[in-house]
Amino acid sequence: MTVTPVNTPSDQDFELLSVYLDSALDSAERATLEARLAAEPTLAAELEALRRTVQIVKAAPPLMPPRNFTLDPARYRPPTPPWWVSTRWMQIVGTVGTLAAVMLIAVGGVLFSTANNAPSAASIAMQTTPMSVNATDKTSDETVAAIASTSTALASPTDALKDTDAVLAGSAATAATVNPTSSASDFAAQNGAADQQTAPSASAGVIAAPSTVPNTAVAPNSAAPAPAIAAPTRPPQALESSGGAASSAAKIAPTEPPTAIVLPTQTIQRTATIAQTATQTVTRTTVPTSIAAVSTAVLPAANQVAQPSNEQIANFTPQIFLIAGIALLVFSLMLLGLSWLRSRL
Amino acid sequence: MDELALIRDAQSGKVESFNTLVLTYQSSVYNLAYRLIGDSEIAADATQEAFIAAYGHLASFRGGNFKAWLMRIVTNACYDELRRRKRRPTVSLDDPDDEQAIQFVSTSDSPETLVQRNALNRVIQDCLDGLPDDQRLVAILCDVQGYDYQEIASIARVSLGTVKSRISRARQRLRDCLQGAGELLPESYRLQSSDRK
Repeated sequence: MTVTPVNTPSDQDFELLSVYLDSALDSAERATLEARLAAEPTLAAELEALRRTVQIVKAAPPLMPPRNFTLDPARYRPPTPPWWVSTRWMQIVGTVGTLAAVMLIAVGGVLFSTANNAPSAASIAMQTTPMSVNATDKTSDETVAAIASTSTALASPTDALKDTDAVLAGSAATAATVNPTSSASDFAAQNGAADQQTAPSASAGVIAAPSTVPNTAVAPNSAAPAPAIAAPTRPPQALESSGGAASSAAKIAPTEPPTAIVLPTQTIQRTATIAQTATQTVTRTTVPTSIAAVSTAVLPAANQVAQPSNEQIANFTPQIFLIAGIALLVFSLMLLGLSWLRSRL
Repeated sequence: MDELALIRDAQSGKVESFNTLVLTYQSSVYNLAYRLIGDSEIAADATQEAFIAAYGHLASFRGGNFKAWLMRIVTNACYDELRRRKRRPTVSLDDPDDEQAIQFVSTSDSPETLVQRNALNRVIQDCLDGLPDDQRLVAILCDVQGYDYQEIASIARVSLGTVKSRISRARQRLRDCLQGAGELLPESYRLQSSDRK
């Protein structure tokens, strides 16, 4: 009598049987297992026990939920997303922003092209100044010569301060040139002693000519306009020849740019002081009408040159439009792209 | 309305559409929770928490099998509840043998059939409760809920091979448990030891 050894199925065999029960073996594995089942009754018995177990578990009765698990709409209403996250808001703002950006860029382009075709504010100012000087030339050559000599003295006050006697001599000549019939020379002679004691008083004699401008006209610009007058009307060469007043006046270059004369800051400050002193001194002098007219004609031109900022700011307007338009366009396109991405997700 | 449209509406904030999905799947979700936990009240609470969590994370659903996604959520909710019960063991005021707490789907059974159904349910649940958590989950999903291996792997987040081995071991344990139940099972469901030759 032969006893057939009973082979206990391994865990791998149990797994094969389990998968076989679920019909999840491929054809080759299934064929192999079925051959073994036919040859091994123990394995077949284990398969039957597993099949019965699965049948019992599958027979577990389904339970009815004790209640409904629906959510209360009033309680579980999702929070409304912020308005700025809304896709519709992004689309609206992006579209409107894009249109506005295109309009801005178009307006900026038109303004830019217009500004390029029109003369600049600086050139307009430079053209205005020589016109005043030309008018002055037509009015009186002597007046222009006096202004030129005065400007020379104003532009180079350092030399005058260095040599008071020379300046005083120049002032007598200038006063005689500018106003031979006035009491300016008398006034200078009468106050000569006092003028020699202090430099500002002496220099007041030097600038007797510009000080003939009426106080009402000069007072607001008494400090600043001296270099402003000299800048647009007098070429740099005039600064070098302090003696040739008439020739310097004749050399007034109508088209000389204001930047051609760059006075040292110290010189400008001293000139302003001299102009102020002269204004105080001339209160007792007779004002030549022609010089006053010249000064009033020149000052507005100087003011135009001194205040080009508004024009320059106006020149920047097209660029501001363009930059704002481009920035708005980028922002709007970003919003549109973001809304598109959100709609895709 | 198809399931995908309901999901999109629910994702856009329509609670009513989500409630339609709840009514569709609440039976499966509750049965899984009950089989995993073994207590009807706690299973009901876990089911409710699972649906609330599903609604809160609905935006993270990127398509695919919605039922499997829902089952994964309820599985996590049940595991959280089981861990909580292990940390703080409590005695339920409800009688575990109180059959009134459990209602079966079929209500047309005769009293005798209902008694047999209760007995079968109690034995099966006891045997499931005796399984390790990982084996219990795959056994419920495979043999009670009827999912295939791939779905089980997706819900349990394990590999296909792991699913197979866990199911095999769970079935061996269940076989031993049911054989030991003997007289507790209805006669037609008894697993005789003679089945193992």
